[in-house]
Amino acid sequence: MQAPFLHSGATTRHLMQDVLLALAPTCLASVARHGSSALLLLVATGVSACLVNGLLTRRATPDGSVLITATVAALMLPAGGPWWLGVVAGAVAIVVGRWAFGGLGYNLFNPAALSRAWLMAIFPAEMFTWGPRFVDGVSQASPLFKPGPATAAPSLELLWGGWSCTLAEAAPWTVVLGGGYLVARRVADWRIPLTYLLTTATMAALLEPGARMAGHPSWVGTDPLRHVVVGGTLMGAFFLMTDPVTAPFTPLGRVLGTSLAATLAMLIRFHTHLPDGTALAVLVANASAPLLDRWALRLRAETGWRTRP
Amino acid sequence: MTLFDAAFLAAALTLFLPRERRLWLVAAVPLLDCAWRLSSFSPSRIPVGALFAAVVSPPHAACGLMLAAASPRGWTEALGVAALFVVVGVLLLGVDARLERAPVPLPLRGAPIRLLACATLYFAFLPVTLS
Repeated sequence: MQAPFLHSGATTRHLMQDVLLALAPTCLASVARHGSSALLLLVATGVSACLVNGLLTRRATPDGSVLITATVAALMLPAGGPWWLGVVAGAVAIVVGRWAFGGLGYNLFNPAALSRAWLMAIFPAEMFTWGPRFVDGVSQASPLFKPGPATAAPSLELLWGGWSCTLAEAAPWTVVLGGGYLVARRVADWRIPLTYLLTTATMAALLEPGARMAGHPSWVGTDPLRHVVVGGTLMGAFFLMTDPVTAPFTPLGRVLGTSLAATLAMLIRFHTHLPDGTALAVLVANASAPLLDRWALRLRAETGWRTRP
Repeated sequence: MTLFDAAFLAAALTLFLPRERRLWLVAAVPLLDCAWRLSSFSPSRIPVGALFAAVVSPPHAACGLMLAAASPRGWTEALGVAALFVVVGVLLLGVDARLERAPVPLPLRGAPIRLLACATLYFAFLPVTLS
């Protein structure tokens, strides 16, 4: 039997099911933490994405990728945000993020990251209104909120979650759980989350001097581990950068692109008025993917150096 | 128009102009303008950089003019504008190559989808450059 007849058994449908399964714990945790408002955001985003996709493709039943896009986009919305924010997020992700660029398999930018970036530009008040409005005795303002809580929380407590920021930050450990599942199932390339988290920790150590951090409480910059578990870092590492369509397809390109994204995200976090910039950094890394792949392939052709697939 | 806007618009213009190596000479425009402004023998605000761009690469003179409009106040700003122009320009070339292969819907094919990609990158780069 030769190569064209070998099949691993993994189909697009199976991959989609794995990703949806990996996202399920985070969805459940966000609903458990934030209640009906989180459920409303998840449903509004999903319904909006499916309806818009149906209108554009004239197919009544959406494929799994639409649900994945909608779920990831919803998980990056602020906890307690208005339901219509989910409707807009789902529509932007499908129309601008996917359909405009040629549909599934051709999108240049991660649709969920693109949706968040557009919403940040169009509705900054709604996207960044977390904190006191949602502090209910159960959730606290995110440590990345500017100005953030004055007292430091232990890193493990940060991983447990309960921060009132995006839905995904309700319980960061569930993102690790889902991401670990994807890596174990080989749906996601292990190099991507590893590189992202290592680069984030390294940048946090390098950029540590508190005086250079714009607006953050000083304790946020004292421990690289904190930066790994707060904000959109885990979502970026496990669910945004691992998108097979928008990530570079060469292993070297993936490592370089992921390092670039993590570095930019940390620069935004430390030096701008924005509390976090994972989605924006992912978009820049997506745009650099064709270039990085070209460099990696040229390097391979000239030196014969190659990494294991 | 901020320095960032000028550099980004100049880079976006490259998508609609001939792709030649000498295009990147245009990146020298802000540096030349800065040198001219800081020199003691600059009697007027002649856009030396834009003239240079028009001479070395006539098809890309519009990019040069856009970069000259940035009017950097010092060497740091001039270098920043030049670097941003090159980085965004190179990224957009890669993006454009990929867009050419994608089955973009007919109403968006060509300039609209290129502008959409530019707009997305603009939003993405804005806070990065603030850092």
